[in-house]
Amino acid sequence: MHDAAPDLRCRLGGLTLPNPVLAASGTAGYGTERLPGIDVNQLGALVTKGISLEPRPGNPPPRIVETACGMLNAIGLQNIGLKVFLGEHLPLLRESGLRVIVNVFGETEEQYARLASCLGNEQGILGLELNVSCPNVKKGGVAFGRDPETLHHLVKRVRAETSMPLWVKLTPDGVEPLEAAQASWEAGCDALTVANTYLGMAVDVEKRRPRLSIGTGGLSGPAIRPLTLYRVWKVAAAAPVPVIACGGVSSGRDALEYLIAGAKAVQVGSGAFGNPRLYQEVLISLRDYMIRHKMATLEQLSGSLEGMP
Amino acid sequence: MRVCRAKIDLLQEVQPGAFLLGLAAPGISHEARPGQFYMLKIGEEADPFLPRPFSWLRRGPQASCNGDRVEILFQVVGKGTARLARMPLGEELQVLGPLGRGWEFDTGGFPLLLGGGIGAASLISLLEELPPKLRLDSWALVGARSGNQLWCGEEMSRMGAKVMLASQDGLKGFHGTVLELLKHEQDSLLRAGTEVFACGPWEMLRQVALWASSKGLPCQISVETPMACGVGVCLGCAVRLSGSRGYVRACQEGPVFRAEEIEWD
Repeated sequence: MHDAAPDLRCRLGGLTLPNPVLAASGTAGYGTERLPGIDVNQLGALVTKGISLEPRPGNPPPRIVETACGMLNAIGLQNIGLKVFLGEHLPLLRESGLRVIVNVFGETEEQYARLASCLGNEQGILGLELNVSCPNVKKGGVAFGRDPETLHHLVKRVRAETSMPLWVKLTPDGVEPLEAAQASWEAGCDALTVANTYLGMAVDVEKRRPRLSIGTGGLSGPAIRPLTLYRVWKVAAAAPVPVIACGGVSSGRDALEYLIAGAKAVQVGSGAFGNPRLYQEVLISLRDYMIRHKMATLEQLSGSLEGMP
Repeated sequence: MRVCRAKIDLLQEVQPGAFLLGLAAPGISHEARPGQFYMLKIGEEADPFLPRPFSWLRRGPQASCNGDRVEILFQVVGKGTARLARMPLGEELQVLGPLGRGWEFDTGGFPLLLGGGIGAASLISLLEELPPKLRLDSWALVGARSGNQLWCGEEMSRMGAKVMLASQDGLKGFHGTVLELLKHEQDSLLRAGTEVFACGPWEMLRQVALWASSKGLPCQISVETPMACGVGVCLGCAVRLSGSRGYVRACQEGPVFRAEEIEWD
């Protein structure tokens, strides 16, 4: 019997987090902003907004459009750049004790490598997440994630720069899930984030113009969850490294689906925009479910899917 | 800023397709400053997915929740607002706010309020918070497509401001836009110390900003942009700054800006 609090500790490669509920990159800032109604220290970890070597202004507005059960974004990786992050944000993060994974983005392999070497020895950062899947920039981003050979080379290069835990955030667009995943784990990553947003678009029928400034954007929200669930299951069944699910989590039940399908942790993203208490609600749901199903540890829950033909 | 569940204690259609919504919850109105906004999640389901930003126009005074309430004016424009308009009294909504940077005013100037369409609601909170003498000394020009869409202007008149109305269909007030009314009446409106506060569609704000600049008048504008988080982390509500200075967030650095801060072209 395990009526007492189950052990929610989450093991991701070399990392052990107190629970498997993470804030997804781009939806929770740099970890230093005030998020309403939430003690960010309750998160298993927070993945920062993507950082590049130099500051990026991002795309012109309009940058977001609501769609059925989701949203399209074309933010364009607007960020403060490495220097400001290191100088102004990291000291605050160290003081806060928040568990932080830094999401990094480059336009070239060299830029990724430099980010990894600069951040890879810093105290106060638990790991790096390589963004090779942003659909909203002209250079880099998804171009790295769609070609397994390029991806393999990139991950290997970054791996050589740091011994810090390294996650790769895969794209769901234009590549077989296992091909990109395998290219990443064979190059030495410690975990895979499956997946990022899906390329999509919306049209203003009165103006007969795209509703996003750059024409297309990344789709997130509940609309993509079944698609990503399939990819999580597929990759988790084969990968020798942990899979972190990311895509359309809006409830504890959504997170449970991912964990049962094989994920070791879940990232909560745009779902928290409409419900700032979502992180805590997911955590409470997980705990209740494990008590109800007499599961003592997260390992008993993760990958417990039965009946798949 | 707080997250709370607020009870709908008023939902009244005050002009065709526009509703006055009363939300009561402990603490909801305490920190509210004129020009700030609230994010409302409409229903528990995934569709509509995102919360919606709405300016508040006044707090109190109903007895419910000890008067701790705010009122919001919204226009039915899509499925989210259509659904909000059908909600029963007593239903609870998740509310986040008050958010953003609101209107700034000192008592040294004479306010000239310019409101276009439903955007004029944000100016009501400003008017309400002005010292009584200044409120009576304020000019408010309010325009809408139709003469039956001028509830905000009538409300400002009831609050004591000197109001001029404009309707594009000519049903009520000046026949034309609020900008045309402004230019028509500018000689009688302008005084030493006039300060402009404007809220409405982007093109109207752009024209107001140009006009105020040509007259050398201080001018604040409140922008409407699509928003997702409302708290500065998603960067979806970007507004371009003048002079190639990049973007700021309407939800954090705005929604009220000094007109000269914004890139209008």
